This record gives sequence, C-alpha cells and structure tokens, in this order.
Amino acid sequence: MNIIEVKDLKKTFISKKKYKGKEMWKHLFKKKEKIVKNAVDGITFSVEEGESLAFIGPNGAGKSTTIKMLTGILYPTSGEVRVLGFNPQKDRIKLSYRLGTVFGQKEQLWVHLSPYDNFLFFGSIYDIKKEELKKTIDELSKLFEIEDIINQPVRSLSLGQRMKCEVVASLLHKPKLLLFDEPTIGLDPIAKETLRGLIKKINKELKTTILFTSHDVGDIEEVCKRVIIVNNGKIVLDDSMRNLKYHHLNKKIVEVNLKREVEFKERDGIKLLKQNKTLMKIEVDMTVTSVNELLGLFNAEDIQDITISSTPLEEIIKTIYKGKTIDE
Amino acid sequence: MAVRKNLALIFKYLKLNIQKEYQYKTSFFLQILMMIANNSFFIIQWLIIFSVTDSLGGYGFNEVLLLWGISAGMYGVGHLFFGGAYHIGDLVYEGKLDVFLTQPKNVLINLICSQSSISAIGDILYVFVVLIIINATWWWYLAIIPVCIIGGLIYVSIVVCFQSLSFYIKRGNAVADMISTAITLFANYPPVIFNMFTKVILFTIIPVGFIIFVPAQYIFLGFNLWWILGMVGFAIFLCGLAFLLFKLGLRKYNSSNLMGGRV
Repeated sequence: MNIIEVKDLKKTFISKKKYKGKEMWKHLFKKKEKIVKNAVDGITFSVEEGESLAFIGPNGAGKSTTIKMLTGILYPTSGEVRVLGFNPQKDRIKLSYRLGTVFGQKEQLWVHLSPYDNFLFFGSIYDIKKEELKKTIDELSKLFEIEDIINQPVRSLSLGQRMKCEVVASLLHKPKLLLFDEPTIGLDPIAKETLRGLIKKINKELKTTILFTSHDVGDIEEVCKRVIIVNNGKIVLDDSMRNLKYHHLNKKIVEVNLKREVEFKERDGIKLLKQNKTLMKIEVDMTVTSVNELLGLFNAEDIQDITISSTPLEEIIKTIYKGKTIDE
Repeated sequence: MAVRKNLALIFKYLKLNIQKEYQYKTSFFLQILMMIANNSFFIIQWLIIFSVTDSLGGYGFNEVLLLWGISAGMYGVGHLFFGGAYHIGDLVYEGKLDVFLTQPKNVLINLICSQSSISAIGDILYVFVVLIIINATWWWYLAIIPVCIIGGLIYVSIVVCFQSLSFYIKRGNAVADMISTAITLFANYPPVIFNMFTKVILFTIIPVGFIIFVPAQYIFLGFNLWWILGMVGFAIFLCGLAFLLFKLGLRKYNSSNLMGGRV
C-alpha cells in the first residue's frame, strides 16, 4: 500500500524584485518586476508502507517545500498529493492524527517545561487518553533512554537530548508516517549516531514509515534504504541505496607508497590522479579492470604501503547534484 | 463536542502558560501587581478632573471608572486567554506557523491560545478593584463578567482580522497594533465627549462603541435582553469574520526555515 502518492507536484513562489540605491527611488511608485521561482517543479513519486526514504538535495532544491506540502503546511500550485489516503490541505486535521513531524530547525517543545509536562500536553493535543498516554510515555522513555532527564526543564538539556525528546513528542500518537526535516542538524557525532540508531529502531520495531531529509550523507547511508535526490525542484535520481552504491561506487581509489620513484603509465580503466615522487593516487574503474590488475603493474618488493578506498558517497551525491553522472 | 474540545484546549494552554511563568514566582506576582498599580494611576487622573467638575456629559466619577474597568477587563481577557493573537503578524511574516499547522487542532484557536500575558491577570483583578472603589451594586458585579468576556472576544477578533492582513501585506501587525492602541485609548473617555464623526468611526472602523460604550450603557440601565443579544450577535459576527479572514489568508502562507523554538 502506498503511504505517499505525489503526482506532478509544483510549487511556485512569486516575489517582487528588490531595487537598491537610486534604482529603489526610480521604482518607488512603479509596478515592480515579478520574480517567479519554481521551488518544486513537477515531481512524481510514491512511498510504500514501512519504507525508509531519504529525500535529499542541496540548499534550495525543494526538499523542505515538498515536505511542507505533504504535511498540509503549504498549498501546492498544481499537482496531486495523497498522504495516508488524505489530501493534506483539505484533511489536515484528520491527517495530523496519523502523521508525525520532526523539524530539526524548529523546536516544538516548551523549553521552560520538563519533557514529561511537554509530553502530557502533546498527548492532550492529540486527544490521547491519560492512562494510554502515560503507558506510551513510559515505553518511549525506555526505548529512547531518556528516563533520567524526563523531569528536567528542556532548556537545561543538551541538543542531542532535546532532539530525542522532540522525536518522542512526535511519536506519542503512534503515527504511521514520520517526516524528519534535517533532524541531526547541529548535533555532535555521538548524538547523531544515537539518533540515527533510534530512527532505524522506529522504522523496524514500530513499523513506522520514514521520510528523511538531511545534508549529512552518514544519516542517509545508515538510516535509509531508498534515496530520492532533488535539485532545482526536480527529481534527479530515485533509486535504492543499494543500487546507488552499486552503480556509482564502481570506482576504487588506490593510494600506493613505493620505496623508489617509478614511471607510471595509464591503462584502460586505470587513471593516475596524483603523483608526488613515490606517492601515487590512482583511480580504478571496476567495470573495466580490477585492483589486482593494477597491483600487477608494480614490483611487489617496491610497495611500502597501500590503501584502497571507495569513492565517498558524499562525492557521488555532489556529482549528482551538479546534474552529471558519476562516470562523466 | 468541538466546542468542548476547544474550551479544554484554551484552559490547557492557560494552565501551561501559568505553570511556565510561575517558575519565577517573584516576577510572576510582580507583573500582576505592577499592572494593577499602572491601571490605578488613572484613578488619580480622574480624581483631579472631577475635582474641577461634577460630571462629564452626564458621566460621573463612578461611571468613568467603570468604563476604565470594562476596558481593562476585556483587555485582560484578550491578553490572558488569547495572547497569541497579538503575534499573528510576526509569526506569519517570519513563517513560523508550521508547528500549529501540523497539530490536529484548529490553527487559529491553537495559535492564539498558545501565548498568555501574565500581567493581564492584573488587568482582570483591577476590574474588581474598580468595583470596590465605586462601591458597586451586586448587579454591576454580575453584569461586568459576561461584558468583559464578550468585549474581550470582540477585541481579539478585531486584532485577528487586522493581524491577518500580514498574509497579504506582510506587515499587518503594524495596522493591528495601531487599532489595538486606539481601542484602549478611546475606551477611557465617555462617548458623550466625541463629535458625530468620531462616534461613527468608533462604531465602525475602531468599534470601541460595541466593546465598551454599549456594554457600559447596559450595566448602567440594568438588564435588557436586547442589549445582551446585540452584543453577543456582534461578537459572533466578528469571531466568524476573524476565522474567515485567517482561513483565507492561510492559503497565502509561506513557511520559512528560520531557526526557532517555543519559550
């Protein structure tokens, strides 16, 4: 069953041109030129129940605008959106009971109150019965390991602890779909790691469908099984994480440190990227040749040190953002 | 059912806002006392005026003070229960309505109830200070409570209507603040001192007439079913208009990605 269905979705923002200096005075009583920006430009995709989908792209690509149209915050200019069978704009309240959102940049918790008081309040917003709510808070506090901070004012918590509480607040009404908009923003590596683990847990144990936007490739790699990459309001890639890695991680970077300086000749599928006397950085295209073949080009006794690594996913995504395939 | 749920939400928010502010007890009580003291300075002003004249177009010291009491009461109700109404313009301008739009509640009610001004408790208590000073009859005590609630609803509805302009002109809060200030300013003077032109404005653009003067007349003259039905009718009309304008404006809302939190 499809949890999200989006067809030819568009969102256009219209603003007026801003003039500076003398130009401003010239246009004071004139009609200002309109600037039309297609933030989302005809995207189509669907998400199945239980999926964990990364929705990524550079700044201004249209990720957040899409998420906001999925939640009913923004009205689309054209196109169709169905989330959990509802039209988010027409059935916003009905949808809210079954949808959870976590915005990394916008806190929903009241900072002067404790997480527990916040949870009680959010529970009442979602009309959850007290007994049931207390049971859910207990379960989630254990799952998220926040039992010892649950009664401290939110303002005294670290960013990582706060984010955990934000996620708990979004799970109180047991949503079928959870939308994360850059949840790991500003978190330190340990807090990021913990949050990623918890999001995976939510997806696996609570069977909640996850849609995730982030600039952190680590988040996406660890949490999501499918990736949609958007740029300039358009989908440039919609594929499984496995396929993305398989098709785009087909190049290996080999760094070799030799005992003596040698002259290196490039071959088919073997490209010398950099050479600094005895130190060489070589790219091997695995679809044409193999690392083994490369190593055969050296005298084994000359090799002092060797490192083999894959192209970082970040590089691949950067290349896709730019609208090129990784092979170009 | 929906009314009961929304009333529950209003009181839940009030409880939470008081709980939040009560963490700093001294500041909490100081805000209330300072507001009572601030309002009380006007008693001195009127004492001076009435030391040189017995009445102002038929309004004596007690009547003028009652006007001021109603004004403080409806202002207090507006700011205590619906404090968020005064921030709609800023929230729209900064694109910060997202939290309210993702919750399963009416956006306007959810938003305007989310903030409370604690000093407004001082305004509400001041109503009773006035009633004690003017040695009010039991009828005045009885009548002033619904009058302040209805007046407060009308006042907030006007504020919401003007703040909703922000969806279209971005800075609608400037107009709303001006109207809000004008309401409290005109509310302190007996209507008899204004000429016909000003009176027309006071019953249309800045409808202080319906918030203060009509209710005050109702209190002075005693129970009258038509007066109270008229006030309730006007309040329902303005509440409806506020909901409609806000809902229409919401389609124009542009969210933002500014960092933000609830305090």
